[in-house]
Order: sequence, then C-alpha cells, then structure tokens
Amino acid sequence: MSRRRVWLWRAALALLAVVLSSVLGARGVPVPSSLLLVVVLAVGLAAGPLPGALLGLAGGWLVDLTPPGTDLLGISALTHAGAGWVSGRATRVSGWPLWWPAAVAAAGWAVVAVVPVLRALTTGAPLDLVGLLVDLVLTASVALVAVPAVIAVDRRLSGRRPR
Amino acid sequence: MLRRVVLALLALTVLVLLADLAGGPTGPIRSAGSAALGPLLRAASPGEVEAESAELIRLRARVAELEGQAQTAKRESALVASAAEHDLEVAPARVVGVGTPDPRGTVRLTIDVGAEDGIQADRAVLDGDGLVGRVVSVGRWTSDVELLGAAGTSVGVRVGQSPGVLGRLSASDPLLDQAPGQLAVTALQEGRITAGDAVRTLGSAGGVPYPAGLPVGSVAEVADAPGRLTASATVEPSADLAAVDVVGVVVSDGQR
Repeated sequence: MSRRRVWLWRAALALLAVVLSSVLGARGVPVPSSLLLVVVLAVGLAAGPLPGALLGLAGGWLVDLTPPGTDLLGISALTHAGAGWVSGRATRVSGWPLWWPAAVAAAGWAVVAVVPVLRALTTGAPLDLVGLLVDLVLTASVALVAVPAVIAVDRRLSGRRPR
Repeated sequence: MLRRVVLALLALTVLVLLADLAGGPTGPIRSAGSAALGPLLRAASPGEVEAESAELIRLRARVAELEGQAQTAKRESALVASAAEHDLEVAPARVVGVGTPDPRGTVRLTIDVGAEDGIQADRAVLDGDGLVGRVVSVGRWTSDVELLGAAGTSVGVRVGQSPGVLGRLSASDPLLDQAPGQLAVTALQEGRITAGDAVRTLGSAGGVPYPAGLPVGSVAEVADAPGRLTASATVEPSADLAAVDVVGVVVSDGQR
C-alpha cells in the first residue's frame, strides 16, 4: 500500500512538472526546459538508480507524448531514464553538501542534452550556446531548491529515515 | 523485479524509437497522447482573471488582462489583415504548449484548435508577420505545429523581386555561418540573391501545405562560396518564431 502511494505521488509530481514546463514555456516564463528532470533527479537521489531510471522512463514518455511532443518518440524517455540512473548512482550514504543537488542536476542535464546537441551538430544546425547555458543554470538553480524538498516528502511517504 | 521491469520498458522504448526513426506507424501513439494530455494543456492555459478580495490586486490584474487582450487583438488584426491580403481563410488559435526546446530552440508548438475546429494536418500556420510553420498532427482539441526551423523542414520559395529566384528553404546549411534562429535558403537556379531580398513561399499544389506568396523572411547574408553553382544565404524569418502567440491555420485557399 505504502509503495503504491509513493509511486502515485511520484507519478503525479512528474505529470505536474511536464504540464508546467509546457504551459509556462508557452507563456514565456523562464523555466528549465525540463522541470521533470529535477523531479527525476530527486527521486533518483532519494531511492536509488532503478527507481530514478523508472520514473525517468515513465516521465520521459509523458514529455514525448504531451503535445506537441518530441520529434522522435522515446528520446526523452531514454535520456531521462539515463539521468535518473546517474542521479541514483550519485547517492551518498553519509549525506551530501548543500551544493550536491546542483552538481547532480548539471550531470543529469548533460545526459538529457547530449543527444539533441549531437543531432544538431551532425545536421549542421546552429547551436544556441547561450540558451543552453541559461538552461543549465536554471536547472541547477531549481534543483538546488526543489530537490531537497522532493527528497524529504519522498522519504517521508516511503517511510525511510531522513539523513 | 524492478530491474526486470525497467529493462523491459527500456527495450520497448528503444523499439518504438527505432520504429519512429524508420518512419514506422507511430501516429496512433502520438494521437493517444494528444487525446489524453491535450485537454490538460487547454485547461491549464490562462483564462479569465479571478476576482481577488483586495480591490487593488483585482484592478491591477484587470489592467494586465486588458493590456494582454489589446496585444492579442492587435496580433489578431495583423493576422486577419495578412490572411485577407493573401485571400486566405484562417482559423485563429493561441499557443498553449511548447515542446522541449532543443539546441536550435523551440521547434514544436501546440495550439488550442483541433479536429473539432475543422483543422486538418499539413496546413500552413502563419501569424501577422509571416509563415510560422505547418500543422503536423491534429488531435481532437489541439494540434501540433512544426516551426520553420525544425530539422528536415523544407519549403519551396522565391527570393527577391517578382518573379524571384527559385529556392529551397531549410533549417540549416553546413556551408553557412548561421546565427540561432536563422534559416537557410539555397537557390535552385542561377540568379542573383542579395541581402535584404524578400523570401516568399513558392506555393504547393492546391495550396497545401503552403499557399503561394506568403512572406517567410528576408535574406540576411549571402554565402561567399565560389565553388558552388548556385547561391545560398541565411534568412531572418519574418515571424518571431521564439515568441509566437496568436497564429492562424490556413483552412482554405480563397483562390480555389
């Protein structure tokens, strides 16, 4: 029962992040390109590589399918699963410094961004380097604030002892 | 157990990705996503400003709303004028969702009109300034638009004074030094292209997806490539593709 409740909370949070990214982006509000990434990283840090990868996969499918979707179906699912797995591997048993979520977010952002960047480079499309840098900073900043909060709620719901 | 579930789902995802890459029939999956999640985006898009208890907050919100409506009306007027100028019937729409931006910027949008509003796939989308892109998929309540800068986009165009040099507009050309947001045009015949030349749609058969003569942009810089038989140049789009808000979907070409 507890496990179902935890996954319901994670799924609801992922859906909220995906819809917010799309709706706020359409209104010109500066948000990270993937708010979902922050949620996935938090769950990976809280619960480990497999739950992080599973939420990344499921949430990435939401990104792929939420209109207008991605031009390649499944690409967000795979990259977010990779980011969730990476964040799960970044868990530290003895706790972590305050800046750790931002560093993990930067690593997760790189995992998600590498495929589109490579696709753009191979087709000769111009790269918006400033835009990429702004997105990285936004993602790391939001992660710095939101990841500890998500981890706290996730651990409380799953009955794990806070570190 | 969890490991097996993750591995199975990963394998399934890779299969879908490969099928999509190979041009397989993934349309129904996208349609299902649009049907399930489109209404959520429509519901989450801003509507009427709710009355606030504090009068000052309410009035400020009202002023902001009226300013927004004035801006929207201005854009709609420009859109209607542009459509009338080209003898087109357009269905007005607002952007309610943007796709995850890739390194080129935003390349896919969702607008708040769909099959229920008479929208069909493969129709041109424009705003008051010019061509924005085309409808690539239509859900019941929403439609997805691929912007001009998307990879693989190719539009037949005429460049310069009438009749203009025939060309092909694409997202990028490896030989050009493009700034983010710029497009590329390659001439299909010998002819002179100069900076500042207007770029207009050539027109598709039956006006689908692109009616003829729609403004697309202007030539920003012509490439200095002596080895090439035909010219190529960077193009600054007429429409601000990074800040599209009110658009019109061409529903009928008045010439037919």
